[in-house]
Amino acid sequence: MKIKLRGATVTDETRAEHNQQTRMPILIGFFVVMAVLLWLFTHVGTFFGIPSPEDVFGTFAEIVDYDFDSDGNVDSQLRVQSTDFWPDNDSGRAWLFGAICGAFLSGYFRPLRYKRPSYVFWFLAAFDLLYGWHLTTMFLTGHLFLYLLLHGPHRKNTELLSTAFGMLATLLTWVETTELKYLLLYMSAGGATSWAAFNYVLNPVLTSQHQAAKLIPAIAMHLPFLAIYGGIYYELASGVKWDKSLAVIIFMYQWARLITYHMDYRDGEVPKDLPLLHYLSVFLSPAVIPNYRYAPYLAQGYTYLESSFYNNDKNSIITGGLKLWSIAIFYLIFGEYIVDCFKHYMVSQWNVPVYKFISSMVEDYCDGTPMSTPTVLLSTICDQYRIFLLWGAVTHFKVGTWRVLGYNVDPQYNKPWLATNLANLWSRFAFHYREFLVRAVYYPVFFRVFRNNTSLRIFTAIMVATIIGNPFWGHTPAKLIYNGITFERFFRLILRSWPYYILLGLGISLCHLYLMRKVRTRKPWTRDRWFVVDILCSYLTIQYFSLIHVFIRPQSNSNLWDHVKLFLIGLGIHLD
Amino acid sequence: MNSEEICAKIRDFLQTSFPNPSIELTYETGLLDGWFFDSMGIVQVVIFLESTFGCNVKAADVNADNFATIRTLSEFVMAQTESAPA
Repeated sequence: MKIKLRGATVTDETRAEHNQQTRMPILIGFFVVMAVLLWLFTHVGTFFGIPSPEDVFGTFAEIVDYDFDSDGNVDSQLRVQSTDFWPDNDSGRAWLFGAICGAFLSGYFRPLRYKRPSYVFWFLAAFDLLYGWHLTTMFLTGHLFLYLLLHGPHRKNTELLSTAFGMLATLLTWVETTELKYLLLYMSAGGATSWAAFNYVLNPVLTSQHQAAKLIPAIAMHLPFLAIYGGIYYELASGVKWDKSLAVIIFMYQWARLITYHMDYRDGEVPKDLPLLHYLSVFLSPAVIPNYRYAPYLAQGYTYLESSFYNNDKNSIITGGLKLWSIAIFYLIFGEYIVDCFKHYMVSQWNVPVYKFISSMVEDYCDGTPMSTPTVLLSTICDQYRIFLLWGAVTHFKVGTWRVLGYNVDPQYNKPWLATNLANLWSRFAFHYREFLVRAVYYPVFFRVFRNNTSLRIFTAIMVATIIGNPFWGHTPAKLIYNGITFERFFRLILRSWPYYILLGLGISLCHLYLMRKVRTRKPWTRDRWFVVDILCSYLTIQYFSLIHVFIRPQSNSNLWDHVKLFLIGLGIHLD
Repeated sequence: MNSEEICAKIRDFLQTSFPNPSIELTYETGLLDGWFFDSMGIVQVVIFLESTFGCNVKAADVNADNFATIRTLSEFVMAQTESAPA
């Protein structure tokens, strides 16, 4: 894993060097892995008359009690979410894989300057097929607006873009209710108004020395984030839930990337006159389509992607992507199965009931089912490993896709079970999320407060990042955007889960402070007599992290005291 | 304190705080290419530079130019100490 700090730019000459060699084994490798993906998770095999995975492995699957999907291929957590255009996810996935193939071939063979624009093209093509032109246009119009605010004043000839923005916005507003001749008239008027507003009102403000010149782009880039809290307040005050369109939902799921892009922009890392297609390539890539609600901060903003793009030989980056895809395939096939086997083994061999989901355990406990310490400990760890495997599968696929397109992106999951302390776990478990929080919350606190007291300084920065940053910058948008921005959900899922955030912050900060004072003489997992201690530390780390998750799975029939009691049962203290 | 002494101190600190026998740590070893695991490592170095050399590190100083190698870190410390009021 490589850290990418601000300023770690790669020159176009270096990229051109890394783009020189075309290797047939890489191409063959790509198409083999892609063929496996298509065969396992789509109907393409059936279409070509190829035996399905169940036809090939059915007998073996019966022996080991493995369930295939009803259509004979493998059910998968890798999804094109919320699309109504296709009857099932298999069809959505097929189009997605097709777009990735197109983007890969465009990227692999074409000169550098065409790569990123071609990724934007393939994103738009796939998005249009999966979600329809209306939603695609809305998405594009939203980004066009942000681009005009950030880069418009520094670009020549933005008249065309500002006019296009007005025309598109008008088209989207009136297309379903107005006749064509009037629509064209409205679009012309919308384009002219937008052009005039941008050139005679916004542009002079944005190029002035006034505070508004900084404030307007900042607010615009934080709009999805701010809209969530505005929506919560609106629902609380009026009782009316914000009914968002799918385009707005998907756009809002880019909140973390937009914030990171703005931080890069504010710090002078983004060229002010960045071309539109270059801007769009940060947000519109085939890699952001699968499971758009999973790890929306993945691959971060402009600087991270810029320092990752062709920073190594393209064949080496693509090989890394194919490896991640292979791991993802393994997890997608066996992740759920491994967890089920563990659960059944514990019941049949040790007579310890284990829940696959913490939420089910909480629900049963509140309904009066007694829980033992082993059940709580094993169920929490079982749920955590389920998350490791399934989220790991999806994010490995997403990172793999970035890599196949030439971005040397770090894995979001990096063997979290090898973490020997909580500070290390948080970067192995959700690398990009942690880096986003460090940049957005941790650093601003760390470089401002208690500069004369190291311990207090670190403690405060970590606690602010975990108690404020984690729930409000991360969990709230993730949990509310799709399922409903309501105060009740905000209270139940975020505010009432406060012990989780405090215990996580305490765990990480105490580990960090301890490690800073400890003189280290060896690297963890070195094969020596301390190896057993590494295993123990790794278990304790995962177990603690898993156990505190009882606070973050509130159910309709549970209250905070129930969660406290379950947590204490996990520690061997029974209050019932 | 000269540049070599600063480099030596930084190297000692890195070897103690982030032991990694598989990489030979020279003054030119790329720290961002595998020595630091994550941004917490950067934070530890910031604290070390502040406490040992009296640097005043700002968020903007945490960049790839300064943290690339032990040598660049040493140059950053030299620049900081030279510009500090007597």
